[in-house]
Amino acid sequence: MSASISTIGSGGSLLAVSDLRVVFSGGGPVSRLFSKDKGVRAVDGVSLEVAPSEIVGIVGESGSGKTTLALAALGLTHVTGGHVLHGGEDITRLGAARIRRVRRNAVMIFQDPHSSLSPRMRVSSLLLEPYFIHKVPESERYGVAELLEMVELPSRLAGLYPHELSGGQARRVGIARALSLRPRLIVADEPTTGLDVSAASSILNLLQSLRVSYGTAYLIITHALNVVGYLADRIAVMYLGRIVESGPAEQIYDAPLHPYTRALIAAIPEMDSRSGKKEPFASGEIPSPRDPPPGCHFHPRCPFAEQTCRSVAPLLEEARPNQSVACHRWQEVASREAP
Amino acid sequence: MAKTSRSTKARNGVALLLRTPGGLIGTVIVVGLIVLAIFGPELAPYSFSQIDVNNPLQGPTLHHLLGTDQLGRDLLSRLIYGTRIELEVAVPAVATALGVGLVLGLLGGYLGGLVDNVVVLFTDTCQSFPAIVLALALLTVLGPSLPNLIIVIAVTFSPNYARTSRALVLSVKQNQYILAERALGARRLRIMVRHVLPNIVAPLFILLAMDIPSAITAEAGLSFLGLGVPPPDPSWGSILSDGFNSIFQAPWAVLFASMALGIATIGFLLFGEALRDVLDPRLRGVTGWRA
Amino acid sequence: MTPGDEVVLALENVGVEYESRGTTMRVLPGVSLELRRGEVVGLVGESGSGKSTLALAILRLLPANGRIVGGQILLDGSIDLTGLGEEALREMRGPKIAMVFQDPLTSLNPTFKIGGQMVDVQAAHAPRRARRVDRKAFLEKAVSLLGKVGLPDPDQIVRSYPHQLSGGMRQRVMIAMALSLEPELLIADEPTSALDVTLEAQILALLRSIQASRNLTILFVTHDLNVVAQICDRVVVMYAGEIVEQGGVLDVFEHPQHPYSEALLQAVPTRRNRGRTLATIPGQVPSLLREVRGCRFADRCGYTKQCCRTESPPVVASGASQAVRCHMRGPATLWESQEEKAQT
Repeated sequence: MSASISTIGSGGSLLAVSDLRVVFSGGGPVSRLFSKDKGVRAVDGVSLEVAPSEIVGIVGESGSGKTTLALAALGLTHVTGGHVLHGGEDITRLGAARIRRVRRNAVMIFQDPHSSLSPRMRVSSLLLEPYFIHKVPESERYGVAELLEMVELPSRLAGLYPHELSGGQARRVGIARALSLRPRLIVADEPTTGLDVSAASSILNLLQSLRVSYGTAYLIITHALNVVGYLADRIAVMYLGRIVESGPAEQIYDAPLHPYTRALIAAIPEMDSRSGKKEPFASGEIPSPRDPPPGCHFHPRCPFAEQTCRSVAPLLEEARPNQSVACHRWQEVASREAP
Repeated sequence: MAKTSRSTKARNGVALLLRTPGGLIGTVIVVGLIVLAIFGPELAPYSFSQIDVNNPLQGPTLHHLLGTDQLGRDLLSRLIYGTRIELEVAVPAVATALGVGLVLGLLGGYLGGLVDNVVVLFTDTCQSFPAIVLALALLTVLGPSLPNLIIVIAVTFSPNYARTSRALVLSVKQNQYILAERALGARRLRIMVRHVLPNIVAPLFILLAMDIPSAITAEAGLSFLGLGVPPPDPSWGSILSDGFNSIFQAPWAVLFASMALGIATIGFLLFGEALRDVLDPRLRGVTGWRA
Repeated sequence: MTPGDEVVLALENVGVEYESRGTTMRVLPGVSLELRRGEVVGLVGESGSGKSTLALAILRLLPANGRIVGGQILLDGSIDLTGLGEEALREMRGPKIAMVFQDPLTSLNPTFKIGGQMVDVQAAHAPRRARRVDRKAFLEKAVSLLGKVGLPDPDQIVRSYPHQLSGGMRQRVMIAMALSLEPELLIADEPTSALDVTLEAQILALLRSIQASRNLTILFVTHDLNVVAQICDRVVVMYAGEIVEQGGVLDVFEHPQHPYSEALLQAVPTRRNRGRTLATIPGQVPSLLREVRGCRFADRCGYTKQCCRTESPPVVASGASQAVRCHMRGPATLWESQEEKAQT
């Protein structure tokens, strides 16, 4: 199958998000005029890139804005500011037809497998539908059996309806749909959440092997650090709409710089941390995205917070080669070894 | 999981339909009415317009099982023929209302914006008139005849279908599979037809089944007022209307015509509810009967 | 505090059936388990393992179509919970055994203030005469408990409604309520599954400290092996309604005896197994509708032999406190002599 869209664009990245802002405001223009409510700043100035065949993991807890980021990156939700470039083209400025072409190369796998499959269509129709949408000539299509095989599903599932599939099977059908167009980039929203350990591990194995076979790049959105730790090349940690740290996965695990990242890593329950005292993890809870704390969003929970943190929002700056962090005091934080 | 074939599913569905007493009665009545409408007039003992001035306003006798009306016409035959008329009016009327309402609701609900505003304006305006007034006004302009009757009833019913289908569309729109289709690049028309439409027809279909008696009653009402099917066609409403004049001497016409209306209404209601339970028990709230 | 030897709760051969559309499913064939005072026991299993059913069965909180068939649940060695009437059971729920559930939003009554709910819980278990009089005392105790579970400003919390609190706060309120009657045993059914990871860490630390200060016995039901590793002393692994392995956490995690436990532990992605293919368990949990001959895990096990399909595997003790239900761990010579049975 031929590649249909050039992937060479600003620096060769498949996806480049630049200073993206997505704000959801409650009411219409009139209420916005009269109320103080500035709305929810779901994504508050995020920049990131995904290179071909790269796996980038976006990690964040609830309210971090990661799902909104994923949707905005694919043009599925409105964008209040900033740019989203696919292969150099800014989709926020493209017409419907051009965006449709972009959609051939950047697809999404959704969090809830069952609700993302049209309930009255059989699996076979669901799998072939992308070809009809994009008018792909027969010679360039995969067959239903082939697609099912790619995701390790038995061919007899082709005639079933979504509600007749198990969660794991439905998820794989979603993956097969995404793969049918041979995309360059797959955005996966919580690919393993809600799955049993054994089902989750086979999905991860599948994603890994697909990358090896087809060179697909992934943008993985998850709250499970262990998943990105296992799969991702690079990680970006989000908190309340902002990226607080980003860098190579191993580097971030070995030497996290941002207090929130350190708290996240420390919070992963595991055997090794049974006995000893651990890093002080973050106290309190994530505040509502509707009313984020001023300055650095993390300061109310941060054991290292001081005056500047409460008033000035830190910018993402390169602290080490390839590793960036948004923290005023990262140098002091780094020097504090975990006990 | 084994795949159930379409025919097995259909058979299971019918079995489920007939399982409850309500479903059984309703289905029997509906099927009976349909059979009566198709074959009845041929089987009726008399022609509906056969006048017998010597035997007006008779009660039930051997010759006239349900009696006669003021012109000596056999009530049984008239009622049987009336079944055909009622269904001839009600079914196309409601089906048209469904079709029009569905399209409007689909367009308005999915496209939103200006289109939606227009649709909502239309439905609100139509529904702000009492249906009777609207029907009377339209009939006066168009003149009473069978086709016009169908049109008028369809017009008065379609706002409700538009509203319901719009609400269903809005709800379906929230589903993630719609987002998934958009993410794949599907055009709006495709999404509306292939993904929204199939998921909203079931409740609308059930509404249709349950609206047929409404349409029948509407027709009967209009005929009662003299604006329905013109004589000598024996719609149940005109039988009622005629019988009303002689209700004290010979209440038979009113009695039996009312019974016919009642049975038809109950039959379709029970059938509609059983249908709903078979197709989707979750719809209990959506298809509530409106008086 | 190290766990003592006193057995707080003993389940002996407890079976549970569900009835659905005319068919009866034996969800738990016969489970035996002991909980010692001061222990934190992790009950771990995937969906369909029966772990939640077991937890609910202890307090007889099964849904209407479920019932306990056979077996005993002995509290403090003497009281058989399976035989108690409703009123007597009610007296157990709270003062003896308390339960914390997964979703605090639906566990709290949205129309009453927190303070009122906590007072009601205590009042319901107080002797009749004392109820009215002691409400003030109950409220004070509630406030004190809310403070102990780490909630700032408990006076404000008792005056709030559930929806005014965040998820984490609600879960702490649940824990406080559970503790208000000083139970001996706390059953926590996936209490942190719906919480963010940083919050989960806080709740786990809280449970650990409560356990230490009161010598509380905790049965922690979860699907997350890592959580078990973090706070439990003993782990009980369930599969398809049976306990397939149990033992000290360190023992089981480092030397899993049962093929299922082994596979589970290898299937969890961590940065340590980056780049490597994760272990997967082929197939699916067997349907409970059919009676299964032999080992329930046979179809998915990598070590299956003929005996696994024909005979129920025995429960074999291994090491000081480990027990596993597997033919492979039985007498070595017996296992060796078995024929290989090809996987179909």
